Amino acid sequence: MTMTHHPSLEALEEYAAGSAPEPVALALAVHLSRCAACHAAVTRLEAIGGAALSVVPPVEFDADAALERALTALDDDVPAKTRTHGADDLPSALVARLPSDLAALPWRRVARGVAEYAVGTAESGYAAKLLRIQPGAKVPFHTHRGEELTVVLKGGFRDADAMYGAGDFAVADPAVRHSPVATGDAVCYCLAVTNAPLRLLGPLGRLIDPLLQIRAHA
Amino acid sequence: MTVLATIETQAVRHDRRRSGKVSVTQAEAVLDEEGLSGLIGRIAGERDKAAFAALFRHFAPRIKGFGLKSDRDAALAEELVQETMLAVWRSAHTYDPARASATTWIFTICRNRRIDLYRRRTRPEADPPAEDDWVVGPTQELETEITATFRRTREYMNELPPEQAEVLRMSFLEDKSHGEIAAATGYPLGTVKSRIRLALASLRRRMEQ
Repeated sequence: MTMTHHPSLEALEEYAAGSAPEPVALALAVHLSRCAACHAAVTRLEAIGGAALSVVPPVEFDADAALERALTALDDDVPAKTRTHGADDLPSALVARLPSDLAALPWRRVARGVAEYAVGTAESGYAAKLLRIQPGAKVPFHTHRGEELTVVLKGGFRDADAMYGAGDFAVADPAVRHSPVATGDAVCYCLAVTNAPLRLLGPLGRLIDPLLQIRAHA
Repeated sequence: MTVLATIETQAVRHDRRRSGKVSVTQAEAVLDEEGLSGLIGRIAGERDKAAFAALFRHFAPRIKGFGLKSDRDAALAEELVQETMLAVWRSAHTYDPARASATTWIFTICRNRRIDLYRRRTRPEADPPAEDDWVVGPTQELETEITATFRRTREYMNELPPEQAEVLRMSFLEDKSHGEIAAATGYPLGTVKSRIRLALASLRRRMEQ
């Protein structure tokens, strides 16, 4: 599989610095778990953090007391962290934030063949949700009030002329008006991270959009 | 080497006297990346408390300084020191000097503990991808290269235009997202992102020279 769609360099920088809001960092971690090139790029960017740490002026400190305390706390009997990928073979950072396998999640239908599940992580105005799109189903025509990061977990979708497969990363903003379609025979699962509600377009969208916004802000 | 040797002698002396407890009274040690890397190796291999004490001496005042950069109180910054150094002890065996310099590795631990402690969140950590894209080569050569890259990164960061250095500093040291940097400085978000991009591009250009 060739990964054709990647996060921007400045998005990788925010992840390497550790300052990305948690939902954004989650979308990046999912992509990085599948993309060796971006994973290596983050490792290189971390050298900036090391360089920054090495030039921080050392702060006056009762190091003797602190060291005594640290030495007392040292222990060797810590179970190694295990990464679990679940029955769906998903990146462990995502599995850790889901209550069950994909099939058992309480999905909420949003359109014909399209359902979503809100992932319990939100920070700095960003929220994350999973999308489940049946083969051939379309996400209703919409645009964005803010930024939307999408990373494919399983299956794939087509957006305009571009194809997205497992691990691929897509960024949309208010300039994008689209209606992605799940391709192939498999159900498409994506993680979508946004910092503002979507805005539905088309005649039906204009009718139900205000209702959706009320729900989104309830 | 002499500073380190003195510290170790003292640590061993204290260790004997206090039956199992190690203490160090020597002033802060200044070590280079190879020396720090060697200490981590000894913690991993021999669970060497004297090596831990020397590493602690070097990093504790810096981690505390790092912890204070995001406007937190001294007590929390000292917790960050404790948690980071305990995590260093526990995960020293995972340190790969062919992938990161010692200080860079400690930065990543400190960064993750800070997210945990300051933001009460767990960093979404990526799994290692199946096809690792890291350069494969003789370990010693890679280690030398990693250390050189680290030194040059530090050097070139000093040469960045102030407005680019500022955004990188806020991002890495002050724990501010790009949105928070925009809010704190009054720059539009697009300006913050383009300055980050420019800074990274000029660092990369210098590295390739």
